[in-house]
Order: sequence, then structure tokens, then C-alpha cells
Amino acid sequence: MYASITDKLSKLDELIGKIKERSEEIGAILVFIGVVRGISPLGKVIRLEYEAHEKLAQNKLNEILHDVKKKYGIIDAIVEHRKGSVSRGEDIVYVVVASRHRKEGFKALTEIVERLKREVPIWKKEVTEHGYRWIEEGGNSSSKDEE
Amino acid sequence: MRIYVKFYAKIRDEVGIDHMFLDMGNNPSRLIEVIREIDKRMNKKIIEEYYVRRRLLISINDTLIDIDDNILLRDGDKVDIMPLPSGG
Repeated sequence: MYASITDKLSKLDELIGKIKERSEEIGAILVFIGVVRGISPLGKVIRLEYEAHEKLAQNKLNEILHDVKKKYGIIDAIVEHRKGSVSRGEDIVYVVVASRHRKEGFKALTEIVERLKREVPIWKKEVTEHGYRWIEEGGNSSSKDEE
Repeated sequence: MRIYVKFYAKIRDEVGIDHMFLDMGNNPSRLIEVIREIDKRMNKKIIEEYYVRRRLLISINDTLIDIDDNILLRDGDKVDIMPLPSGG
């Protein structure tokens, strides 16, 4: 299991290949890909800018993976999350879960993604053609015209 | 006693500075006193508003805390003031 906050995501097929090698017991691999949406209430999105408290974020991601593995009995999980500027259409985050059966894999994947968004000290600023806004927990926001 | 305070993301934008050193009279000082002193120093009531509504994360010396007015801060402590997460 590992988690990273990174400038550059690994290639997804390499992540899947890596996790598949972990055990012959693996019967399901589930993948979540977060992508920069092209439109927002402010208009056309240009990019998202990610900021993190890297030490706390890393510790919290490790804790989440540890908890989820224990809770659902999955075999392995990987999280990679971008930091810095991410343009529209680009991938933001990969979560890959390997399990014996799909059922616990889906549950684990959902919990990792939900807890990542709720608990990990990472923040995003959405920059659009009309201005920018910090996205707040639950998708709320505070807007400001581009200066 | 002296405390280092660092702000992140939206909160940093609102207060207009990245970090500050806070000279507190008492050693140790309660967390709520530190929060009020930050706003007093900047002549803005921003951090206490986040604090009262529990719309922030606080870490002390790189450990996230469960917010409690009576947590004691000591000379040399580092306090991170962060908005709630919005990653992914």
C-alpha cells in the first residue's frame, strides 16, 4: 500500500500492473480517476490549483489506507494525488484497490475516496475564464473575480 | 513565549499573510487565547469565526488536533491553521 502527493501521476496501466503482481489471490481491481471538470458555475474552467499540507496529508492518507485494509480485508491499495496546477481534462487523483472479490473492493474504494475528500488536508482553487474561487468542503465555494 | 502560526489556502488569502510569530504573555497559553490574539494582531475577526463554526483544521507541531479551547500551547510551538479539506 502506498499514497503520494505528487507533481506527476504514474501511468495508470503501470499502477494496475504493479498491484496485480502483489498476490495470486487478487480477483478484482477497482480504479477511481478524478478529472478536472471543464465547466463550473463560474464558466469555463482553465485549471485547478492544488495545495496540501504535505506531511499531514501523507500521514492521513496512510492512516485511511491502513483503516480500510483492516476493515474490508482488501489485498492492496494505492493513492496518487496531484499537487500544483492541473489543467482542465487532466487527471487529478488515482485510487486503485485490489481485492479477492468485487464487493469488498467497491466498499473500500468508496470509503477511500470519500475520506480523502473529507479528511486529507488538500485544497483546490478553481480558475475559470471569469475569475477564481476556493472550493470548500462539500463543493461550496467563495468566488473572486480574476485580478 | 513565542508561537509560530502558519495559514493555508483560502484562510491565507483572507488574512493576507503566510505566517506570523505571536508573542503571548502567558506560558503556556490556551488555544482559544491564541486564536483571539491572531485576530487582534491583524485587526480582523476572521480566525475566531472559522474556529467557532469549526470550519477549520488545526495542527500543533504537525499533529492534527481535536479542537478544544483548553489545549495548552507552549513556547516554540508551531500552529497550522487550515480550511476544511477540498481535495480530489
